[in-house]
Amino acid sequence: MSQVRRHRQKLPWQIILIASIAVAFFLSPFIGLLWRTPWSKFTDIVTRREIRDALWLSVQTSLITSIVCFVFGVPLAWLLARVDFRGRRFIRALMTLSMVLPPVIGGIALLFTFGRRGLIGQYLDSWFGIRLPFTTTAVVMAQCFVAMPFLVLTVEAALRQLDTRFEDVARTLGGSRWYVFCRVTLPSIKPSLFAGLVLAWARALGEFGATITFAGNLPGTTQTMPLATYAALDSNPESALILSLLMIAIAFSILIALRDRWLGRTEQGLPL
Amino acid sequence: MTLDTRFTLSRGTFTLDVNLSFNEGEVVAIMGPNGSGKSTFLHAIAGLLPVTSGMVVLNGETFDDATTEAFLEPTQRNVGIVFQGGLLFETMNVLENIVFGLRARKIKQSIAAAQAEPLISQFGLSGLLERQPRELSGGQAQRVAIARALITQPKVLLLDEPMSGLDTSTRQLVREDFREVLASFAGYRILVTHDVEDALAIADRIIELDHGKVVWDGSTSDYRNKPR
Repeated sequence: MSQVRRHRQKLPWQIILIASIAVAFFLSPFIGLLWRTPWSKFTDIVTRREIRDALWLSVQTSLITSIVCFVFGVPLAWLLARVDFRGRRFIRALMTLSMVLPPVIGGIALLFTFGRRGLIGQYLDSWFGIRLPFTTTAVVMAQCFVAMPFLVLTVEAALRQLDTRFEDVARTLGGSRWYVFCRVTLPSIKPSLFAGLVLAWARALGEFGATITFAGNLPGTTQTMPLATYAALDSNPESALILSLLMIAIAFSILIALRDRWLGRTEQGLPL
Repeated sequence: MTLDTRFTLSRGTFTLDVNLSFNEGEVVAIMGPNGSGKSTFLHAIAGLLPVTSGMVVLNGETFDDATTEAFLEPTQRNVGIVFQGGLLFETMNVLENIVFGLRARKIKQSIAAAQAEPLISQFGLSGLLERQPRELSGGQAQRVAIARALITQPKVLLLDEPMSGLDTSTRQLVREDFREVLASFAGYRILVTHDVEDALAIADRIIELDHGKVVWDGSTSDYRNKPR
């Protein structure tokens, strides 16, 4: 007891005060949101068709995005961590760039590349009749564009920390590179893999700028939860409040669930 | 039957330059300070690093030849390697670690486990098969690592600082144990160590490296009498 008290006395009150302001700043919007939420209309709003559509679309697209990020991002992370090739720094810079870029810029870039007159889009259209903008596929592409770097950089960092001699031993035991990658490398970085997946998924779920620019805001097709929330803010602020709350609840509960299940509390991974 | 290593291997400003021949059945200790090229030497034999010039030849089979650019992948050399602390795969239990080399050759788990049985009982590991690597003592982990390396019946067994990291109280015991385990394998045995006691206790022949060059090569008894 006395130890605790002595410990407390040592803490500088200036730092505590400033940190408390930061905490208040993050906490108050949530309280404000809860404060204004029209609880009586909750069920009514949540069961509305356009809301259910948006919710379902968000869940669907963000999960697909997570899978795509995993399938393409993990091999890319391995290359960046293990192979010294020309252009590696460029690729890593590219990843970081799309993380810090305003997503709406990413959306514009996607539109001018995969749009009907875009660099790639014109051929997709004339050769295969594929038009990407304003489709659900475009939503997934927009989400991947902003979310994949989170997975790639998290997994790459974990691979760099992993002792390469584990892979060496496995190779001398007769494991092909692919076998070693699947059986030794990936299981060893499981916590970081899940952390990267969760980060990418959370980023995808919240994606707004790139989606609205490249995929548009079509209810049922491209209108995800963030878009529906923003659209509702003008016409029906109460819906916006409830939608916001819903997204917070989804994100929060999945983070907590995953933290307990996959990410050892003190292990590498999410700072939760 | 010999293992011939006559090569240079450059990494950055460091160059390992050796011309060494090993006889089957010999236990050779390679000594030298940090950065003398001991581990690099093992890596070259295992195929984890390609040589810059020269060649590595085992019983007439070319592992690596810089002139013809012939290079046998580590998967095809059948050279077992054991690192300090064992470096067991932490996501697998003891049995899965031991049979890894068989599973990598697409042998079914049940068949692999049966094949591993003699080795497991010989090494006294029968009671530990379900354990996770972190639940083993240093000596146990070492045994598992050696069993894992021997399961594919390699022709060469390489040991990189197998005994460092073990505390001194168990060291003597582990050393005895280790000699016994090494004796059960008839192929080429090369171990890297910076501990003279380990080398004297275990090896028939001692090679000393410094700055990438061989500075001593001779029998253990000669080494013992060598003026220092």
